[in-house]
Amino acid sequence: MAEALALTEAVFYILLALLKPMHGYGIMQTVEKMSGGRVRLAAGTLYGALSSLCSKGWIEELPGEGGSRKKEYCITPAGLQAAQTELRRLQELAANGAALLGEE
Amino acid sequence: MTEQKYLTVKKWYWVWQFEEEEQWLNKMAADGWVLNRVGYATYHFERCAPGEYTVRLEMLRDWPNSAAGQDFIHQKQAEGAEYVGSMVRWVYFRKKGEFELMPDAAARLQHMDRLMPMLWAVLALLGVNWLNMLSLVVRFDGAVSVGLGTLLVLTVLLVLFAGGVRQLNELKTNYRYELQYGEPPARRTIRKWIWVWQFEEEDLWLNRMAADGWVLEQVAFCKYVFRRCAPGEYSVRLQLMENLADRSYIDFVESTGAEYIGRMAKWIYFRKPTAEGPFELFSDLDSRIRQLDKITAMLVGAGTLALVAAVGNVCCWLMLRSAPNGQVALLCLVGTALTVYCRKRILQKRQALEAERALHE
Repeated sequence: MAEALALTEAVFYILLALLKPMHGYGIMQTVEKMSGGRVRLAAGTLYGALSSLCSKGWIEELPGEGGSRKKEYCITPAGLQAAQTELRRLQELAANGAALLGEE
Repeated sequence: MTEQKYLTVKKWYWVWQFEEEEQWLNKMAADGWVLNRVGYATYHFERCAPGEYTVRLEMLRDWPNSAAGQDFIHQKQAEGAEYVGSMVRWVYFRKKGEFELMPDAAARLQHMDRLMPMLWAVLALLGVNWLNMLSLVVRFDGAVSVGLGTLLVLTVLLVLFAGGVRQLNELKTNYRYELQYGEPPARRTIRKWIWVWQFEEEDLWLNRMAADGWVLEQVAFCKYVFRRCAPGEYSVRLQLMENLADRSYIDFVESTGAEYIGRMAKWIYFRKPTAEGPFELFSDLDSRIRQLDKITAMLVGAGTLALVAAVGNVCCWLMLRSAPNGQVALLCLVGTALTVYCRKRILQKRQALEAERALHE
C-alpha cells in the first residue's frame, strides 16, 4: 500500500528511539540527543504520531504498571521492518547525492 | 528578494487596549520594525536594528497641535525622545534604548484620569440611546424592524464599551496598588475578545505578556487572568482540542514538562518554563495543517447550523410576516457570513503552509 512512500523525519526518529521501550518525554529527549539538538519533537506532534503508529501496528503500548500515567511504547516487528525499508531508501538517497554532488 | 525598508500594518485597537498597543509596537521594534508614522488604524514602520528602539504612547489632556500639546511634545523632544506622530489626542514617541513616558504609577494613574471621563461619556451616551430605543420598541410592540436592529447594534456597543471601562478600572486598581505598595499586584485580569482566526495573534499576545512578566494563570470566556512572574520566565501555547473528555492528551503534554493552565470552550492552554527549552505544541507542517483543518471543521459545523436556522427563520418571516423571525434570520445570516469569513482566513493560512509543505516536510 503506502509502503513505498517515504517516512517523515519525526516517524523515522520515533521508530529508532523505540528500539528501547520508552515513554513520550523519553522519546523527545532521545530524538533531540540523537540528532544533535536539531530535531525537537513538540508534544502535540509526537502524540499524533504515536497514535497513528499504534493504529498502524508499528509500535505498541506496553502494559503499564498500575497507577503510572506515563505510557510506555515499544517498536513491533512491522515497525522494525518499516524502519529498515526507510533506511535503505535513505542510503540510496545519500549514495546518489554523494555521487553527484561530490565530496567537498 | 530585496530587503524591504518600509511596512504598513492595518490594525485596530480600542482606547482601553493602549497597553497592548504599546506592547505590540515594542514587539515590532524588537523584531526590527520601528514605528515612523501613525494614521487612522494604520501603523507605518521602517527598518531598524532589532531592539534598538523603545516606543511609547500617551493620551494628552489637550490636542497635540494646541499650545499646551506642543509644549509637551517639545519638552519630550528636549529630553531626547523622537516624536513619531499623533492620532486624535494620542501621541507616539520613540527613543533608542530604554525610555518611559510615564515613569511611575502616579503618572499612569493621572493618565487614566484623563482617559476615563471620555469613555464614561461615550457609555452614558450609548446608555441613553439604548433606553430611548428600548422604549420605542416596547411601545410599538417590537414590530419596528429598524428599531430592533438599532437596539441590537446599540446593545453590542454598550457591552463593548462597558467591557472597556471595566478593563480600565481594573488597570486603575492595579496602578493604585502599585502606588501604595511600590510593586504591581500579584495578579491582574484582562478582558479581551478574540476571533477564532486570531489564535496565532492570541498566542503572540500571551507570550508578549509573559515576556513582560505576566504569565497566564486562568482563562475564561473573554477573560484572562495573569500572575506576575520573572520577565520571560514562561512560554505559553494554546491549541484546539476536539475531544475534551479525553484527558490523556493533556496528561501526555504535562508529562513533557509543560503545565496545563485551563481551557476556554475547545481551546486548551499550556505553559512551560523557558529554562527547560523551547516550547512548541506542533513541530512539523503536517500537524500544523491538521490543526487548521480541525478549526475549519468546527467552523463549517457552526456555519451550517447558522444557515439552517437562517433559512428556517426566513421561511417563517415570509409566511407569517413576523418581524422577530426576520430579525433572527438576519442575525443568523450575519453569523453564517462570519463563519464563512473565518474559514477564508484559516484557509489562507493553510494554503501558505501547504505551499511550504510542497518543498519541506
